[in-house]
Amino acid sequence: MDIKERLQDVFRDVFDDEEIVISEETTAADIDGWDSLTHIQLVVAVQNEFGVKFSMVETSSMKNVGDFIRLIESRV
Amino acid sequence: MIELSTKSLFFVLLLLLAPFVLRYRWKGRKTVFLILNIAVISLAAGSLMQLAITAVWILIPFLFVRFVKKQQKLQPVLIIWLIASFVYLAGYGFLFSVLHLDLILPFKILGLSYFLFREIDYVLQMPYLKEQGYACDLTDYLNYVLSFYTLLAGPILRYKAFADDFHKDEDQKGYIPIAKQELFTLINRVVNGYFKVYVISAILDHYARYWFDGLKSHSSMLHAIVAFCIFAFFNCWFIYFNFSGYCDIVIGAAGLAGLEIHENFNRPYLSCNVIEFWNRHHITLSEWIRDYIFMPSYKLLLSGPLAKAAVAAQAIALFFTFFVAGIWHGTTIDYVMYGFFQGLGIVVSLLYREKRKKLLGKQKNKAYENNRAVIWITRIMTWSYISLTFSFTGYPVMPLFLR
Amino acid sequence: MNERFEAKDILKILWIGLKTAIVIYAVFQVSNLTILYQGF
Repeated sequence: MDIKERLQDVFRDVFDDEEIVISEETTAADIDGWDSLTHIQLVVAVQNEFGVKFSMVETSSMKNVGDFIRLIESRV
Repeated sequence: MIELSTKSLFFVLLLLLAPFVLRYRWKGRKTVFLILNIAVISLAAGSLMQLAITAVWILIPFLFVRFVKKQQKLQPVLIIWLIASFVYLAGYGFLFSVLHLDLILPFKILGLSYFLFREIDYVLQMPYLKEQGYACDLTDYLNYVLSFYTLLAGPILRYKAFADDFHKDEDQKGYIPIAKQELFTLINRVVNGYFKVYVISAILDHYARYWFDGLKSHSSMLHAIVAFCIFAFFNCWFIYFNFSGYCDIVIGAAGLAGLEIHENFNRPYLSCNVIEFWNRHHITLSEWIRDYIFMPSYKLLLSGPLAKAAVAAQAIALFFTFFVAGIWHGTTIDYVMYGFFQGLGIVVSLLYREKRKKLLGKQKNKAYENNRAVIWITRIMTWSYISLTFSFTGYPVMPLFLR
Repeated sequence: MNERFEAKDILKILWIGLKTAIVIYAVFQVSNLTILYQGF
């Protein structure tokens, strides 16, 4: 499974919605329930799934799915 | 040396003349702004020693970012030092007495609490901004920290936003024009701001003090409670007009100079819960504490001990965040209570919202939140709570209760 | 700013001027207003 597919599973799990489909441009505006609180849950879930750690500043800089993918790729 | 405030003639003249200076694009523009900023802070300083201490305290974070090699590792050390030195410079009296220290400085540094926020933002963001091509430039840094527009009481600007905004249109030469409509709007905003502060909030302040002073001699408990509520009413509206008026002045004045400052208020007393209130009142503070206190603590809790209890982690992180924010507002025990009550209000709002979402489900919950009666009742409840807790800011309420 | 000034602009200026006058008067009346917002 590539990064985007695994990331999509994480999104589906955190937001409890099997219908979610993500693309590089997907932002908080596109997903119901993605606010600053769930953003952290998302980041932590991504950390756990990919075995990486993000700093505070990186966490708040991740604005869309593309940002997530790029940061994951730079770590893995 | 001089008492600096929005009514100081010096400050008013500065606001009037700065647009002519800052709207003109040339390579010396940022230096001119720096000269103005240094002039303001020098004039406001009470003594040479105060100025020297302020200068050193402001320069240290820049020197760290500019010259220190292993930044990621040493950042926490600098941040802790910044906070500790801030606590000392600000004079947190009750901490000193707990530690039996008698080292309080004989002066208060104007704008110190806002310097702290800007310095922390700079230190934490610059490593990433450097990668994006931002220069670690002393003039830019000093202009950001000292900007006379946000010196007195914010709003709290982020370095990236400041740098992008200050350096925009630099490819152009000469004066950047302003449309007539915008000119009128901004001047109106500044004048309205002054009106809010020196007319409206002055009247409200007068009545708030009158009712607070009357609390000392009350004939009965009921009388005291009613008087307290009246005091709280005048006080909370005083706070709104005083602070949002100031923001109108500086945001409008900066706009005339071609600089954009983030909004700080959005009809706060229309909030339906305490969480919403903090998204409408002192917005730039809420955003800063969300990014630099809430998110790290929430993330820490969620990654470790409370991995399976997201709501509990949120509640603890939120309480901690607002407690700290409350204490930042002031150095006495009243502000500790203020922080406690803000934290409490936030947590109660959060838990109630989560419980309701679980019980009602998505559809019914949305209907409930959009119900007119619910909206007005929750607005009144929220405003009441906020106005009562606001009484801890600026008035020695604790001594009153302890008697 | 190259636009011309019209009649209604004069009214706007007068209104702003009136508010300014009230503010200046108030500033001289009020000597000890709690300036709440100043970060110490």
